[in-house]
Amino acid sequence: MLKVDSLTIHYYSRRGVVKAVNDISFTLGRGEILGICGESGCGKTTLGLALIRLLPQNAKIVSGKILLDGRDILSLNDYELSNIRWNQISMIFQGAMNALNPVKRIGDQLIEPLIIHGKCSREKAFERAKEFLRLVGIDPVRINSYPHTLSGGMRQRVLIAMALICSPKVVIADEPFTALDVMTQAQIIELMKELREKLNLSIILITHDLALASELATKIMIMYAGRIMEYGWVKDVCEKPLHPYTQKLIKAIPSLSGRAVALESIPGSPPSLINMPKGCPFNPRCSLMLNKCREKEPALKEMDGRYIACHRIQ
Amino acid sequence: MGDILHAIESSNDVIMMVEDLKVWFPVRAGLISSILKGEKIFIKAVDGVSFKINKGDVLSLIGESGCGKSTLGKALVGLVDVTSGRIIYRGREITSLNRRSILELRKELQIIMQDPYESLPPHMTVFDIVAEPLLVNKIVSSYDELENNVVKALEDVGLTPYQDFIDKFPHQLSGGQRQRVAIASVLTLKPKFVVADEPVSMLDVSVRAEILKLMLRLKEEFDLTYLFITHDISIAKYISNRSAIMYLGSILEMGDTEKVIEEPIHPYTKALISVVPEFNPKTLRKKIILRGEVPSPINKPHGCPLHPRCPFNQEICKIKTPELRELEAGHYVACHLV
Repeated sequence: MLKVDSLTIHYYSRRGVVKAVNDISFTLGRGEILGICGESGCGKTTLGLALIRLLPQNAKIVSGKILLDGRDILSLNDYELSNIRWNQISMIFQGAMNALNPVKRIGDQLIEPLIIHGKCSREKAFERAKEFLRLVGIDPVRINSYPHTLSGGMRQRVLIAMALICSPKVVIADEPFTALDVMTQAQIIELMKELREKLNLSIILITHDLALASELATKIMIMYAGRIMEYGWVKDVCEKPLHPYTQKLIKAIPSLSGRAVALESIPGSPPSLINMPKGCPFNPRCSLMLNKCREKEPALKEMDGRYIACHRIQ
Repeated sequence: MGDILHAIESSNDVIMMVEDLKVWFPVRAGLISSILKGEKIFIKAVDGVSFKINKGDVLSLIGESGCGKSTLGKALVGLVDVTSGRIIYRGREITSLNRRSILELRKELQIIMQDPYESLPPHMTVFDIVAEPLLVNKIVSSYDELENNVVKALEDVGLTPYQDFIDKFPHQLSGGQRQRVAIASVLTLKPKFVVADEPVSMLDVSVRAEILKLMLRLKEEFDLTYLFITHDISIAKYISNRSAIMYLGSILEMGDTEKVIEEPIHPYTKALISVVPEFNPKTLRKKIILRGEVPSPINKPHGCPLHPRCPFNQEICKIKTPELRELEAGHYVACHLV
């Protein structure tokens, strides 16, 4: 479906070149959900924006390929690109509170992609909008409501409906759960699972919440300082994390089940993406550091169906 | 009333006691509708809450957004006006005190805000921020004393060496460091009771644990009592010994944190705990998802606030509001069905 091949993205700022995404490769199959996790500033949002080519002007894709059904998204011109956006790949944006236009009714906002792509008439588009509102669990009579009359969870559902309305194959969801309560969050997780089954949708879920990703995703990618640290099936990564960063990240998550265990924080903070440390980007915070880690950056190695970038893994 | 006050004064353990507290905010209605209907409309943010906090406790107040937990927290430190009910802090009823005495008491009652990106003034240095409470309350008499106090507070919260931080502005600090500065400025006043309103929800997972650990250490060092407001039950489990579950302005269940989380009794608590994302796939729980949305605190449902969403709802739940009853020692539940 979607194949990303050694993608590298830099931001050009006054203070220097910010190396936000470094040599990232992955594939996403039909019906798969890939969870991309990491601390803030690890490049996960940049990666998501690049997939739909929405990067800000000061960002540049230095190298790499993004293949959607074999077509390189990076080589498309604006016209071809607008045909692909929303029709084949769409996005659920971060922050349900701000992503909708406050002065337009949700119905008008929902049909916009259909009308712009010339898919159908206005009446048909409204019919489809109602159908999708029902699909995401909103009463279609609310089609003429303004966003401020809806709750946060309902607005998030509208955004999901909007991302799905042109039946794309891939949906990128950037932190779709922040600002939602646990109960609403559980409702939306259930909805996304259901939609994935019904529509055979592929989803890229970008989130800082590893616990949440582990419930929804089929594969997990752990990012740090713009690089992949560990990438594999949920079961492998979550039950037997091999990378020291993944292990620490998991220990920092408080768990409800079992006895309260001491939480561990990761000392220090992520490196500046302008002045990267030499060697492994995690070495200043890693407790299992070897001499090698300060000199050479570990390559991403395959091991039993998963990928790890760590010198400790042989 | 005199009896209760007397009882509280004589017991040293209870630091804060709340009785049938209501905080209602009036909603501005149109002139015509207020004449026609003749009644005022209120947002019932906190609607009849009673509990007590023992000295040295960490009580977690858990609930979804809009359940009134922040309003309750603010009421306890005198930051919002109380509609009715009583708040008794160390034997003194703060709801009936005059302004001057409240200002005096407020040194002991402090609050840590949620968002360290917004709660710190961007134009002030760390020194100014931490020094301000000392200056406002005229606690120090000389500049040297002021500086000593600020340095000590910074060291207490682990911003060491202090020289690296004291002249910085908030934007030069990370989220975790900002929250430490906020905690330092609270500490300067030597508070006894601190409300922490979601102090780690804006921070990255990797730094949350340090701030929680810091708060627990300070509690021991300075003999603090916390009301810890959070929507995240797993954080409550980590930090608190007592927990209260709030929904639409009422407390539905309250007890020892371990009991409330391991053996929840109220249907709402059960559901809330079941939907917490669990990291380990082996320990996945069966999810109880409540349908629909939290009703508006303006039009609260009659009877039990949960009944429109409760899977077990009965006739009586629609008619009568359940009282918070003590089922086992120290474990309170407000539900008709238990």
